[in-house]
Amino acid sequence: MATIDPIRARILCSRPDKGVSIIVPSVRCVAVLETGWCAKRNRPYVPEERRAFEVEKLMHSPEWRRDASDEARFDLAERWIYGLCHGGFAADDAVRLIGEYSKHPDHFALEVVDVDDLPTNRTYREAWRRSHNGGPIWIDWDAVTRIEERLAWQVYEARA
Amino acid sequence: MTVYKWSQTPASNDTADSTINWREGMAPSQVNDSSRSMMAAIAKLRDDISGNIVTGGSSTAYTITTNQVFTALSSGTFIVARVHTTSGTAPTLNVDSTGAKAIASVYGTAIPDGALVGGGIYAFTYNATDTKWICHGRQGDTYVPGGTDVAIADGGTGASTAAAARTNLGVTATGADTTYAFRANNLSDLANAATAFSNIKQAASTAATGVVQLADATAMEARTAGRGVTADIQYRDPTHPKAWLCFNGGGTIAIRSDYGFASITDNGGNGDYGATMDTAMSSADYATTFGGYVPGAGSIALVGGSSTTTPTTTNIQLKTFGYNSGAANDLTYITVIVCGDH
Repeated sequence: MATIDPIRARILCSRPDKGVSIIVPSVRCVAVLETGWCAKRNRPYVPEERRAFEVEKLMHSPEWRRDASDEARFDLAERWIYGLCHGGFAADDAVRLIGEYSKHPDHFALEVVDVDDLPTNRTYREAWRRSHNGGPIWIDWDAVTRIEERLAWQVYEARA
Repeated sequence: MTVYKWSQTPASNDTADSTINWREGMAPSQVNDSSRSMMAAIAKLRDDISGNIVTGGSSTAYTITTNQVFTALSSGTFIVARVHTTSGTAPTLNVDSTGAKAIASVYGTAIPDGALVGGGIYAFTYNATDTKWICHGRQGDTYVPGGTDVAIADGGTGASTAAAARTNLGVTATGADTTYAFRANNLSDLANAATAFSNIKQAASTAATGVVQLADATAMEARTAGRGVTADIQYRDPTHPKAWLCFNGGGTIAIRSDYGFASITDNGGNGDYGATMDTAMSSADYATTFGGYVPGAGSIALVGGSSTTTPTTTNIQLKTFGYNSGAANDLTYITVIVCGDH
């Protein structure tokens, strides 16, 4: 996508089990990161006086981005909380920042795509695959076969 | 030829004025001359007190040339003149070169700078005792410094100083606030508004209006009694939800609406999701409430936290199931509410 539409943006993540996770950014959160302003509160989303405290909270959250080094975590926490305090991010950067902030520590190869780039049929959602290095989603037909088999058994057991 | 040479004793006026001869046994031919000379003398007096003569000299050293042309000054000599320029400091007046004399107020005191305004007409009476020209008809002459104090009952203050007046009127200033004006009924001219407000404020209660101290974040979290809550701080109450989320977990998953969440994650399997809050909770020991349903599906859906993943301060994992089948199932309406300490 040349320009990211926050409403249509999705962030693909590759998983260690070769599956794909899809992060859906909050449009409201994107707006906060753009403006630093929360319309529902009519004031800055996070007050400046709480900025350092919020960064500390993230740094003391052991699971949050435990895959990154302390320096990288601190940098990300600083950028994230600064955005909530003051905004200043373009929509593209805000979406990418949400991906970095939200991703599971074990997931990797983040990529922002348009919602139309995702398969529309979720029947074989568990068979969606993606290269270790990223790229588009493809269907693992061996996995599809296993899913079909499992569904058939479910129907059979329901009749029994 | 000046009336100031004339005497109140008739016999003394025989030759008092060299231009007028009213001696006993005078020649009849001199009667008309004396009468015309008297008219001339009176005309000079008229013009010297009409305000037509104009001063010369400077703002601090006025000069006047009269029609009567005084050769010497005596008490009661009276002239009225238009000053050509506004007076300066301690001005003097020299009439017909009889010598510069100080111009004083009607009280004998020096007149202030600018007391005589250029173009204005002022009357001067000579006081030989003090050798001063007393100026009258000037603004401010009604004030009597050092005079008798006017009683409060008569509309005065009963005092001759500002401090004594404040005391007499019951508006005594104290401490540093000695510049109080005590004239405005809205207290806007008080020297220290904070002090004034502190003195008059009334504490609020359930029975009376008044001043309420606003709660800050600490007071909100401690639920301190008697504090006022403003819109920007009310969410800090420990019972207030910190974040909520409603999203579509079926088809193309999408956030329907939220507050306090940064994103949701489609984890891959049916009914397998994550949700990430934009502001971390202070610990992972917070409460979550889940809800979910599939409109028109005729079945109630179950939603619960993931049994394989422990919640973190920022992330919640959840699974959704069909009530009838018990199998993992995508739901089109899934809601999450988070309560706890931010």
